[in-house]
Amino acid sequence: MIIPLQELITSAEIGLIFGSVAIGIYLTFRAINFADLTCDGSFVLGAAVAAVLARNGFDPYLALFCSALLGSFAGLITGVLNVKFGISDLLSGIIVAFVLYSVNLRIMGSAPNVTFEEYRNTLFVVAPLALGLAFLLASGFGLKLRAVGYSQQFAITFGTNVGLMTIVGLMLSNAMISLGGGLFSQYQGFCDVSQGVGTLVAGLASVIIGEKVLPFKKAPYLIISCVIGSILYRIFISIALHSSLLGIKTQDLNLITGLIIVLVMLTRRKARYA
Amino acid sequence: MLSISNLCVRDVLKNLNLIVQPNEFVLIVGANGSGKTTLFGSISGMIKPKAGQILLNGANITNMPQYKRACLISSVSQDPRSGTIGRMTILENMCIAYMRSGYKKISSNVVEYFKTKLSVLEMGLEFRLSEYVDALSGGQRQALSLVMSVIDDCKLLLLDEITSALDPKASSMVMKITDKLVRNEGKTCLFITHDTKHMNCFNGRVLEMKDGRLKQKN
Repeated sequence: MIIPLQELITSAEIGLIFGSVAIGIYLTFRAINFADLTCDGSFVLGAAVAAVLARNGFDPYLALFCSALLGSFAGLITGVLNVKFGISDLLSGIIVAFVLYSVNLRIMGSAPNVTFEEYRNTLFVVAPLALGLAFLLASGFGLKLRAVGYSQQFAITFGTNVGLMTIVGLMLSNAMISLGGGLFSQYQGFCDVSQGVGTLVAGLASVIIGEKVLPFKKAPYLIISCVIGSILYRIFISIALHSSLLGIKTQDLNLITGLIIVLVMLTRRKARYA
Repeated sequence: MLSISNLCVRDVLKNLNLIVQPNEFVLIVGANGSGKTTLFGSISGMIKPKAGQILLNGANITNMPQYKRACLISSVSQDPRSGTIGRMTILENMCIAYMRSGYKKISSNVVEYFKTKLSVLEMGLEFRLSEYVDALSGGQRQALSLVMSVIDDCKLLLLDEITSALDPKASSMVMKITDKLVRNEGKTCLFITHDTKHMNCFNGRVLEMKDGRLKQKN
């Protein structure tokens, strides 16, 4: 089993892009304890926005900013449905992801996919954003945000507007996921309306691998471990797909992903405090 | 000053009236189901009253959201785990309590201030700021909750059955700490309990709650 170096580099690059998605998943599933399923839609939203803007000659960084902005708007809608209208977290996310399918098709001009010239220099924006979010989680705001995830009653007792914090958490999360979508479409020079399927699983796998492999306990460092987990996850997938001994083929990707998640979860459980 | 007039909550509290003067210590005793926790919930904002008015220092807080009311009223409930977050360090818990009424910078002076507050407990928690709260016993967590409740300048301290989940030794320790903190901080305090032996622990007015009404205990 020999993996070409170029393929490892490609896996690491895609891992870095999906690190942005993993951070988004961490912010909802871990930090504010909100099972948000908007991600499958907001990932494609970011990809579609970046693709259409790139095709119309816009600056790639501006395109990414617009992706993140619209992603945060998707998070805002999910948050409002949950906080203001009392719709459960799962259902409000499902509704928004469902609606986003039509919105994404509209953005893409009713075409199921869009091709454009690839642009790969933007993927490194993940690193400063991850560091910025790590600092944010270590701040007073971050403490209050995480307190909402641990105990809403505690957070209210100490003067936190839990509804507002939940909405802000969802906006941050979906901005990161949408940004990941934008980066991925720029990296490939391609966007497909169904490419969001499995975003949640890939993001969760990265978060879990990061938590298990790295000995970090504090939330700011866990943001960094999400990115490293995502890179490791992509490398694991690459290694698995190159193991000729097992006869694994590309169509076995979901099977491999599931097995990797289960294997990592069965490894020695470390204390995980955020 | 806390002033409650004609408070009605569900069918539990019936036209309840209560005035607590600044820096006064009021103990409310009563059997289970008499409405003590409903009164606690109504003052802290957890429960919305059907009728009546709650004034704090002249301001009407009856319809104020609970998170806003939390900037004026500190509360500690019976479960030691609900007043602290086990998966955060002692320092992080203290920081959240300190930022109750708004974001503040946590400088080294503030950390020293936390240590001074924790030293009142005489449990050595001031030397364990970086430890996770999960590592503390139930009594230590409740004591930490008490310190967190008096760390800022809240006007009123509400304590609801704070010893009911503790063993007798931890319970007695928490009562001593409560007495010390309330006296040191000079807070207006409303202590709710079903345990009549707490009547001897404090100098203050004792009221009895029965069938949703309050009366002076002799």
